[in-house]
Amino acid sequence: MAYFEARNVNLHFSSFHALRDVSLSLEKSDVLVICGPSGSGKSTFIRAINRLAGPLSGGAMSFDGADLARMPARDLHRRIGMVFQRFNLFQHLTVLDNIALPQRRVLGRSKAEARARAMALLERVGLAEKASVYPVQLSGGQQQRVAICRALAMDPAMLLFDEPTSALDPEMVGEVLQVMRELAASGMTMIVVTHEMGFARELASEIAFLESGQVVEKAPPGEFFAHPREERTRLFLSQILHHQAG
Amino acid sequence: MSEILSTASDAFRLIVTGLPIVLLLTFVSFFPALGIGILGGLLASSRVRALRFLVGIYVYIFRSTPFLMFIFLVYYGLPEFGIDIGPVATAIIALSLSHGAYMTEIIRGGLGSLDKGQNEAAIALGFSLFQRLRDITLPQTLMAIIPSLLGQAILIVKDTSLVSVVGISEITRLGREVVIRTNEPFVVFSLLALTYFAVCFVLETAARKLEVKARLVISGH
Ligand SMILES: Nc1ncnc2c1ncn2[C@@H]1O[C@H](COP(=O)(O)OP(=O)(O)OP(=O)(O)O)[C@@H](O)[C@H]1O
Ligand SMILES: [Mg+2]
Repeated sequence: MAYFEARNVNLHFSSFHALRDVSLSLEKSDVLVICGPSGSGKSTFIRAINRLAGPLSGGAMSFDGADLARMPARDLHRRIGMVFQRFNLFQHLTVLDNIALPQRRVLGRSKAEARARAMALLERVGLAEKASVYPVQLSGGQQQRVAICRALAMDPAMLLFDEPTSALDPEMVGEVLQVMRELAASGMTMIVVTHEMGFARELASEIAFLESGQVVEKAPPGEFFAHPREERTRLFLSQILHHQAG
Repeated sequence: MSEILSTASDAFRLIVTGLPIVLLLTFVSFFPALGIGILGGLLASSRVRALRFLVGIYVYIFRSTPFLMFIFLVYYGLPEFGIDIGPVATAIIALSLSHGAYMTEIIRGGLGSLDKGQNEAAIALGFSLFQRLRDITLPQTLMAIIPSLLGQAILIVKDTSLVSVVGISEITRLGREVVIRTNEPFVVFSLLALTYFAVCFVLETAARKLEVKARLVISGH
């Protein structure tokens, strides 16, 4: 059994069928990249993993040998972290407290311990000097790096990223991708929704292409880019690569 | 002229005795009203329709009844059921329930304007519902609505002038007594109006300051 596995996952928003028999899996320390057109269900899929999208209407997901549906919410959330497109930092807390508070509340760490861990992470992403400012004082790229620290501080076993760079100005994309690159190199297991095809080519163990709630194609990056089997994948790739080149 | 002066000194004395009662009534009613507002605001934002409906009825009743009518109802109504709580408790209950309805609306609005993404982030980090409320939702809501809440405190100050009808010796009632003695209604009520103005001015200034501060905290400077 794979480290994370989704088998024939279906999900409805009332009568709308948002995920149709989605089956995807990855091994520990792998990076699974998910791409696809807007509205294809990418966010819905990774939000379904940590119960932000409502209950499945069919299929099952397992993580580290356990059925995800039966895992208590707190266990699930402390083991699977998430990074959002719009960062979602707590606006009334300083950068340091954004990272320290969840450790204290969810992991029961002491204030000193949580702050030390937060500072260490901030140093790692080059933001130590921003510890005492509020999120709005940071650029988008800096906010996203803080959000990654906040997730990492919980010592998750797997991280979910929902288009972590698509709300950023182009000149800030690189700094966030760099942090993610280092995470992947350190062995973090990640599921990443992104259209950064350079990142996917370099780091993905496997790329899945979603359309209309279905997995149209999945393959390791070499194969995915060189010999896409499906016409729809080819079309999507030519559009997105053309767009990113231009 | 000396008559006016003696009227003024009379009025001054009544302000010294009556003002603390106004402030006390305001202070003592503000917190239960806020408590009601927090509870009501949370219930009004809940997913359960019946709860939203009940809170809606409460707000509707109190916003559509003149406050004066409501004091009379409590003051004369409760004894009919064998409950005699006296004028001060009557005033506090009436003020709390009435202003609780307005605060419910303020807090419901504040909750409605919250960023959903931050709540989702808190869920994804493993916060419990209670922790989300305490650490994220309420601090942000309160910060956003502090100015409105102080505005409500000003309205409580003004409403305390109405509780004189049940015999509490706050300044409006004391003022009427002085008028009967001195026959100088204009001087006396001018002074009283100035007193209310001064109290509300202080609250208003505090509200402004806090609004600026809250905005700075929220925008992080
Ligand atoms: N809470 C919801 N209620 C109803 N429909 C929803 C909800 N969330 C998403 N949908 C619908 O489900 C479909 C998939 O949405 P999703 O957000 O997963 O797409 P996506 O692939 O992430 O798109 P994008 O690239 O624009 O982020 C869309 O048609 C969307 O309108
Ligand atoms: Mg999406």
